[in-house]
Amino acid sequence: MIARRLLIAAIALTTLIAVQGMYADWHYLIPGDGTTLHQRLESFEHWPG
Amino acid sequence: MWLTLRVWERPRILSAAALGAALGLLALVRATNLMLLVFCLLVGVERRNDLLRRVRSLLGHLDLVSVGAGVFLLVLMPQAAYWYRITRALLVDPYREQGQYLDLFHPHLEGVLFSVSKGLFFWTPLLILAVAGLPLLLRTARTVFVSAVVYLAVAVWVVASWSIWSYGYSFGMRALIDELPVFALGLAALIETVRV
Repeated sequence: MIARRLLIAAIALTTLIAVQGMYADWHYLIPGDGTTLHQRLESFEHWPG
Repeated sequence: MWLTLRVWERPRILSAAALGAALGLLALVRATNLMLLVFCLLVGVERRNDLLRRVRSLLGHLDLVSVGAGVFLLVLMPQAAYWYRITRALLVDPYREQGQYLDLFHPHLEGVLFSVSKGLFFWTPLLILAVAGLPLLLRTARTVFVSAVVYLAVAVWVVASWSIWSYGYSFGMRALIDELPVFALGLAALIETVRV
């Protein structure tokens, strides 16, 4: 049961990270090529909605 | 993938032709998609002996191989005709003039898989779970384990060998999008194992 919950949480978290990344990319919050770690971390300040 | 399984389970002209057509369409989308042939050839192979049996099976069904190859070429013909019409050549490499090339001896594996710029696992972290689930295919779907692992290894190597390994302006490692269905097998195996 714990493994199941952990997997669901991992799937949700990794999907959320990717979706936020797509949002950041779509809104030009990160460059289309050569993104730096600083730019990526900063983009987490922005979320859809 | 479904057609491949069908062809090996029940070798018939119709399924061979359908597989040839599907591979032709894949090649039209992106020539490197033909790496999927690795998957097609290895599906069902679990041991070394299976490889020999697979080769014998292919040689025993040369008629079906010819049908598949014929349909494959037929699907490619409109593109080849178009290229011939505008360039007088049947095969065209549009990247050559841009100075882009494939160098299989110097793959940018770290960049393609892990870099902040375009790394597959950095931008699509769900695939870490998918890769973690690949060994579980040995328990849940043994017949596709070897084909999935070898195909993904070949695909990643080839994609990483392109001179412009970041593939320009895009989100994440777009060159590996076509491999997602095979990655999904690993994720499915992980979900199946935890679910039981």
